[in-house]
Amino acid sequence: MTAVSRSASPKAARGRRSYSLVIGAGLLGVIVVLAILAPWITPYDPLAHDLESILAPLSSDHLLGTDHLGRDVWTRLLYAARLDLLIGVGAVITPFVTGTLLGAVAGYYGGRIDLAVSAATDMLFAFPYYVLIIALVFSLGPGIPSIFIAMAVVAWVSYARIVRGEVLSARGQQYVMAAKTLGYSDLRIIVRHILPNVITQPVTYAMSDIVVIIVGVVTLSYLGLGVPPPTPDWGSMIASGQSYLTTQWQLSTIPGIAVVIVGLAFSLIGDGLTHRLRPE
Amino acid sequence: MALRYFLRRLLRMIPVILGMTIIVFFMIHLVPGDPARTLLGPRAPAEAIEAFNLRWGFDRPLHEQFLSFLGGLFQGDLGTSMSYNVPTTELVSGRFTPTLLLLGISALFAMIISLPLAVVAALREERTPDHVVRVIPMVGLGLPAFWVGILLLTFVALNVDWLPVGGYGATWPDRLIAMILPGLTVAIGIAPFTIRSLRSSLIEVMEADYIATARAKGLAGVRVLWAHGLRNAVIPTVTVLGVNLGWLVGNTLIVEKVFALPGLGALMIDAVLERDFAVVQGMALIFGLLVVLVNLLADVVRASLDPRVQLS
Amino acid sequence: MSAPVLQVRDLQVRLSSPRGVVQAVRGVSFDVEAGHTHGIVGESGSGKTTLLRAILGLLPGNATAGGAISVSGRPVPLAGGRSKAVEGVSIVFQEPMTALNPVVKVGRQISEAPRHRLGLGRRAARDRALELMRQVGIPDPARRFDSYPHELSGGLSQRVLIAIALSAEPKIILCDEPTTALDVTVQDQILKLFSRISEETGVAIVYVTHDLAVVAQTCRTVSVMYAGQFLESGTIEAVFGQSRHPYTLGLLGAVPDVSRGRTPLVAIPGSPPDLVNPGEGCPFVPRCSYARDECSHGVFSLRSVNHHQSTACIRSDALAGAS
Repeated sequence: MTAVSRSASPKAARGRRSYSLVIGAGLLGVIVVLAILAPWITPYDPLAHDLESILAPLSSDHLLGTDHLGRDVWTRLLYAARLDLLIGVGAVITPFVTGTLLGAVAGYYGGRIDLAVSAATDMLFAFPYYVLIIALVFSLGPGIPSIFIAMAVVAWVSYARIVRGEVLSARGQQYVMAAKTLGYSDLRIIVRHILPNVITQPVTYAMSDIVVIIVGVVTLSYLGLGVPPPTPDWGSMIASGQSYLTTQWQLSTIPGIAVVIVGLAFSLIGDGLTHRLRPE
Repeated sequence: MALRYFLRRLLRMIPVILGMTIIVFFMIHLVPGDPARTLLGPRAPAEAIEAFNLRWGFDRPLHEQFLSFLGGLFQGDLGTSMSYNVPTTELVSGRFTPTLLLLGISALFAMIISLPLAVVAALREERTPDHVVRVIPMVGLGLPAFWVGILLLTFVALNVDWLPVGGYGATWPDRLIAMILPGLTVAIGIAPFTIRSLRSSLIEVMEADYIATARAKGLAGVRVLWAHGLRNAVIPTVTVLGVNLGWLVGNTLIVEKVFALPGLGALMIDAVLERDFAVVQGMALIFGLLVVLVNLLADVVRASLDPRVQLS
Repeated sequence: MSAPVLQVRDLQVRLSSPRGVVQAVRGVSFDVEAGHTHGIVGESGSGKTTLLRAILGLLPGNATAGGAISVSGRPVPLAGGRSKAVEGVSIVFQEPMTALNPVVKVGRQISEAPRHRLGLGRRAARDRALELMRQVGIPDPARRFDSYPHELSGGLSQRVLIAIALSAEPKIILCDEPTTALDVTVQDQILKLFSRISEETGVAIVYVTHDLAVVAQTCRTVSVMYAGQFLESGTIEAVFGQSRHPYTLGLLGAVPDVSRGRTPLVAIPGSPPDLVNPGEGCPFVPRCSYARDECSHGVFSLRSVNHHQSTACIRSDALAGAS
């Protein structure tokens, strides 16, 4: 899915790519620092109701106003960043590892193992993303652990497909042949020789996958299947602000913008990595 | 010839569909403990759980349940709604039209959004317009569809008289108008993929020899771009659209809910919220089949665009 | 002598690249008369493709050009990055398979210029295309009209490309290695077709290739191009028979008698100069066994040595008896 095209001036493109890596990493760094320092940045408790100041507008007291229970929106936004970023990055790890390993094994050995892995990926891939996630979270019961399981069940497919294809073409290359003639074990060849050469693709894909997962979590929370209230989360913040959107536009708009910025940061990093890690 | 290709593709789908059925059925049994506990809640009395299991056949061995589920499918029985006590097929009827309409319109919108952006980027490669167009998919990927939908509803539909604030019309013109904002929302979700694909394939195509031939004929630049460039560049984009169909269809689910469209997606989400396990199961299967079939359609479209693809 | 249909005067093309400005064409001049065939011989990278693009009026966006080109007396705009070819000039590319649009029927590709450039009606454009297909020797044109390129053989595809080139009613057809991708028998047929077309229609043909035998077989006059310059120019008999430039001699290798058949390009030791910074003097000096000190200084351009021939070599007299 990543668009790699011939470019008029590779040098200029390369420079610009590093640029996008720097901007993406910088953006993400700022967000992470803000999220970590949340308790010191804002004086408010993200959960404490303050019925004195319900639906307050933007002010110096409440930078982004307050919600229908008088909770400070800026504070909740920062605490939500902690949770949503953690889920996004955390939930990508299991599918990344299992998908990469399954794809590598399928591509390396071929035959029945490949057939089984490919059949499983084909079937899971046929389901619309949200249908599968929602159905899984539904049957597991709402909540964060369910999200982790659902993502682990669904998201490995893409990694398996990507890595399988890469390993398939790497299998015939000379360095693999050489390793084989030296009598190395298959595991050693896969892990020490092939994977380091093909890992770029799944790593860059993981960046956009994190975006997809965060958007997924936010969507589930909006539907009431994700992070249970009152824990601050961008999705439930958007959902609770929806009723007041015509008068208090910021309540639903700002958490959404937060999602977009985080998504942009990861996408920029992925874009930069694609070009940084691409072999000459 | 085309018909035989079609039939062969359908035949090859059978194992995939069977696998999907297994996935859908066993999804509910992923639950640690039993479904009744999850559905009725941890404080439900034991008698209620027993009655529930008896009513829905959860007391039988798993393979027996699966066989009767499969047997039902062959007779066109998708199970019975727990909330309404009517067959799922009955709930589903009439809900295909809004969903298919939404899918078609969003695919159309996605192309309408992507074409000019990709053209501008490809013709100004590595210059400012291209840089701008390359950032759009990065922003687009992080846009939650429901959020875009909410914003469009609040800030566009409420301010434009002729746009309905959600819902579905009774007449065809009304229905089409009702599809504009939902279609746009879904299209924004899929556009990151189509823009990216169309841009890179257009750049590649415009460097091809046959573009030079077309230019050498003395044709105007627009005609070269349209009749020779885009006709070729669109082919891989149709494939990309097919590959990302799961994402496209998944977004319709959320968008139908936001815009209160009486489609398949809204039905599934309502079933989830009502904890209607049988309908969720049936809908998951329907959506899986839908994607498989639309994918076949994408193949046919691609074959009709590319004479090199043989349908035999 | 009729007025030349193509006039190129001191053409210079510079292409900007990340490495610097490449001087792809450095002061090239030549004329081609109607009905004549002129060959341009050179290795890849000698600037012949850029020269062709300049004549077509389709220099890339990173190009700047000096000098002048005129077609039938009208000047050709030399700005880079144009997207529409000059009227009266057509081109036939090397690879018929990639030079045809894979998703458009060949008949439509031939009728496109008559319809959209010459303004013919749908019916008339189709008839014109069928006529052109007959003219270039495509059997059963009515049936082939609806074929797609991948359904045709290499030879037929090349004929389609020639029909496309003729479809815009050109005064000049540029041929960029048009037979290299074909096997020998088909190659001969295509070359004969070019000769016939030139006789029948009076169109001038500029033939760019590295294949000396093809030039010998089809062209009346030839120029030898190297490092963006013409090193030798003249009639086929003169240039190939009595070459007055060491580079031409090198190209001809040990087989001076081109009539004996296909002559492969013999490797000349060394490589062409870097056109980002070519320096002064004769560009062939580093590879030339006749070079003297004076060859490394000054400007080298074609000068006549006799009625049939001109050379850029200042030591051409020393070569007079060499070939």
